[in-house]
Amino acid sequence: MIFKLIFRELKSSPKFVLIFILNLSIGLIGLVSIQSFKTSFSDELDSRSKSILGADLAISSRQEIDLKNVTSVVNVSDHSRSIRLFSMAGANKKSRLASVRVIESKFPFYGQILLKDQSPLKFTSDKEAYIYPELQRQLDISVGDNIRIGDADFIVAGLVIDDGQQSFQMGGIAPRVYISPEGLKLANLIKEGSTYTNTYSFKIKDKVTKEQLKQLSLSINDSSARVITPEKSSQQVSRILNYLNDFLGLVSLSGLFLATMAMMYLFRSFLYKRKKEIAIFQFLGLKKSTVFSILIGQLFVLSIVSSLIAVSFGPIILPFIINLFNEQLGYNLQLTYTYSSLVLPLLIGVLSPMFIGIALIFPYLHIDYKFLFSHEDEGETKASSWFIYLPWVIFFYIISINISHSVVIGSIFSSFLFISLGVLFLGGSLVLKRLRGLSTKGELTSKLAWGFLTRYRVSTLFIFSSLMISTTMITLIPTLRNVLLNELERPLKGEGPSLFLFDIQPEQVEGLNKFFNDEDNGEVLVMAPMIRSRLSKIKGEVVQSSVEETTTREEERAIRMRNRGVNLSYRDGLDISESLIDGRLTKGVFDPEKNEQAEITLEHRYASRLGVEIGDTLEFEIFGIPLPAKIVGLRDIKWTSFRPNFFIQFQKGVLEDAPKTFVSAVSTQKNIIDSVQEKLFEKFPNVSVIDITRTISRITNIMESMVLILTSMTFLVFLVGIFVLYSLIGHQLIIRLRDLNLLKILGLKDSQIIKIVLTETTLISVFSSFFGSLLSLVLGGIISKVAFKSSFVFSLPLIILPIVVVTSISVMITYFTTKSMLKRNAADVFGDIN
Amino acid sequence: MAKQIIIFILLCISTVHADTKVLFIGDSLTEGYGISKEKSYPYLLKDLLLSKHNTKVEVINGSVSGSTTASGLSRLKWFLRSKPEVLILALGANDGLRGIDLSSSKKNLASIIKLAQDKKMKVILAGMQMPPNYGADYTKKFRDMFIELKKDYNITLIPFLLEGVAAKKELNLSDGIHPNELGHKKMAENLLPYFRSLK
Repeated sequence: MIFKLIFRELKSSPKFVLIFILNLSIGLIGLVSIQSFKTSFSDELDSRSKSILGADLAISSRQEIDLKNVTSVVNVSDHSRSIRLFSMAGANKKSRLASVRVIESKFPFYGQILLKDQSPLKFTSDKEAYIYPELQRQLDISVGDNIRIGDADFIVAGLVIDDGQQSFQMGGIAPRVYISPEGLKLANLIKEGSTYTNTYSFKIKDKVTKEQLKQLSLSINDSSARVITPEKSSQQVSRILNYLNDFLGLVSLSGLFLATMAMMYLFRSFLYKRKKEIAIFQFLGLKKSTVFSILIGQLFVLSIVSSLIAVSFGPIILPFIINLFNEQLGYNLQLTYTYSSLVLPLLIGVLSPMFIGIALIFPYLHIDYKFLFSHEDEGETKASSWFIYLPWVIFFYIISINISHSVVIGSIFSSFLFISLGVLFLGGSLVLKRLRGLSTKGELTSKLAWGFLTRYRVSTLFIFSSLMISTTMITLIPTLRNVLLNELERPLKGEGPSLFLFDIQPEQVEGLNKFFNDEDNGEVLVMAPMIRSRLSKIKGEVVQSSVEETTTREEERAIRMRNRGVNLSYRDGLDISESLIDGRLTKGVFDPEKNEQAEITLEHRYASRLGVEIGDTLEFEIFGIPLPAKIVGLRDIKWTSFRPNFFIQFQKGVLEDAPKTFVSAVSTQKNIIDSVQEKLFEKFPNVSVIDITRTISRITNIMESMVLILTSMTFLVFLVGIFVLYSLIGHQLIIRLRDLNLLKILGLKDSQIIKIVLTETTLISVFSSFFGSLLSLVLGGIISKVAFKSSFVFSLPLIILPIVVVTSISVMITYFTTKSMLKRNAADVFGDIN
Repeated sequence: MAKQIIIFILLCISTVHADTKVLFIGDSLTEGYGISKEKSYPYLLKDLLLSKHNTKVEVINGSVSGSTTASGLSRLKWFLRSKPEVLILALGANDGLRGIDLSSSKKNLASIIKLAQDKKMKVILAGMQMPPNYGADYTKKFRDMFIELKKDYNITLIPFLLEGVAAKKELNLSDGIHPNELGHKKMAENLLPYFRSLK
């Protein structure tokens, strides 16, 4: 019987069912699209980051590696060995240090090594060498000329303009030369005593897990070996991928919230529409449980149909959109159907209505059915108990964490939503009660508008909260986009450094400053002193430096790391790439006559590694002299800024006389970098120079992908938001149809009715979007600080624009929908409704 | 000024009982990169001199990892305050590894030796060799640089500081470049004969 009743009820109002399904589908389609795009973009970025490493996994070591140690841990489908070493490359009686890369023809597995003529590097003879353009200029040679490396003369076969992993390490001090393994034999560079690094690159069938990486590190008996994945190939790339992952999680949450707001609103209006039926069922003597089953059954049928429509949207429509993306932007996005893009939206679409349904249906079953025949809206709030929303809250919380892949972000987001909705319903109800007096003042249209808003308080608050949360989501995503761009992209743009100089002697500092600033060779951004020392005591405890008592390899590795020493520095205030996060900066100049310790500030992650806090002491040993120091502040450093920074900064007046060298970051125009390097080589032969423009350009390439993803997803969320908005406003008007026509029958002019409805919509949309924008500011601030650990970027246009857009769209939809409604005969409309 | 006095006093305290003050100016190989300070060859040499030749020396290790010959002179000037009598000059490896113009490296080493000699210090120059992958020409020029300096300034030359240590896996850290505790022990033994004259 229940099934019969369910289908009879649904059949009796086909128009409503259609609109309901359509609206719910729109909300879920948004979630499906966001989830599908998210996966496609993630895959694309993943493959771009793989091209940096050229492999899924690489292991670098000075020693030979037993491949069995790798194949026993991960599922290897192919591997390639390459060798890195330094050698002097000579031509035209000149010789320069070169970083020789010996690669097999199958390397890289991902991406390519691109030559100046846009062709990929491919050895056709053992005697070929492919070189960086810098070396071409340094040795004054051209393609086709000879270059001597070791015992062999090679022919310069091409100039490499874009290749794999760029790093800040020693490899960066010399331009690269690529030769084949056979060429290496001819050059005879590997003999007893040669220093070289083996890099084993692997193509892996499955994604390498953290656990496998740990296993690999332990199975290789070399503490200096580096196990690298594309995500770890560079700190910047790793940060980009982490941030993007969090951002996409947030986008998904926004999609989920938008869909949920649409759902909440629709179910509530569904029940409102079913009020009379509930009363009739109860009047006829149906058990409450049967009425409940009929209602929840209807919701189930509607939500399953809507969810299936939404989920099928992915495979049918999205391929066209993705193709359009690929054609227009030269991307290679692949549409993949995953759990998160198909199963999850289906689960949310079906289960969420059930939980919301329970919470919304219960109050109707527990009130006098006579009340249900009335047009009063008040009953719901009186009958509502907050605990019945608990299953939905828990369900939503779990989904939030699952969809964002982060407990922190999921918790922040869902708690924020629940608290905001709670405050809104409690506070809003009180405010609307107080404003009831406005329905007796002013013009008739204004009186009626305020009358509707304050009388149907729950309805008003539902549409208000739906618009508010939609605005929050629409505004939040572009806000976070700005935060991320400011964090990651800005340091790489404009006046960022292009050369990194080290081993500068104190007597050379003035000359170097003059060389750059006075001779138009660039701008010295940082010139930082660097003093070598050993950390001898932490909080008064002597630091263990002997490896004899160690029992594990990890322990030995940690002690060896400590024994490498630490670099100290001092500077006035903070560099632009750092900020004080706790305590204070060092004060004044150290006075050795006072019986006080020197002050230091530490980078906060370094401090937590050492297990020290503000007020603790560290003791350093500089050339045998013990130097105790007290921690007064903790700093956060943006390492992505490519500016020299130090874990330990001393108070002034302590280290000035100690033997030291300087490190510097210089900004130079790209077109003169080569000539500047040449001049530096002649004038300051001991100063080592690393050109970081290649590294930055690699990162920028990844960054561009990220900017595109951020922009596209922002746009998508906005679009979904607008659809939801349309759905909400449109539906709100449909359920107002009876009232509006009643006014028409009572003799009000169309223009007056439109004015009433527009006044209501404007009031609701202006205030809800305003509060929505404010909420996005607060939520954006919390997420920037807690999840992204970045500074919040305030943008006034970004706050005002959604208010204008949401209000305008709401008003427009209201105007056109009301106008078309009013064109119809009032009697027809009543017939439709019933 | 007060600060400089204190540093000077500290330097003096660390050397107050020394019979012969030996100053080491070198790079990571002499600093003891990756191992404890006490296990680095300058301190092991001190123990060997006492146990085998009954010679007491006070070690002042002014070595800095990653340093080149360019920084040697300023470091020597700094440590002159403690009035060392012997200078072990063990710089040049990083110059060679970074492909720095050898004429400038030689000039730097020469100026350090000259200042030390002016201050009546005995100079022992620790020679280095470049790995074969740097090419035959460059490695020969690099080796010759130390021989030429020995001749020009009439100083004691240890032909190769890492004799019997370089390229020996068991005597080096896993990076294959820096000696481990055993490597430093071997280096100290290698250097011992050059210190007999200090007796």
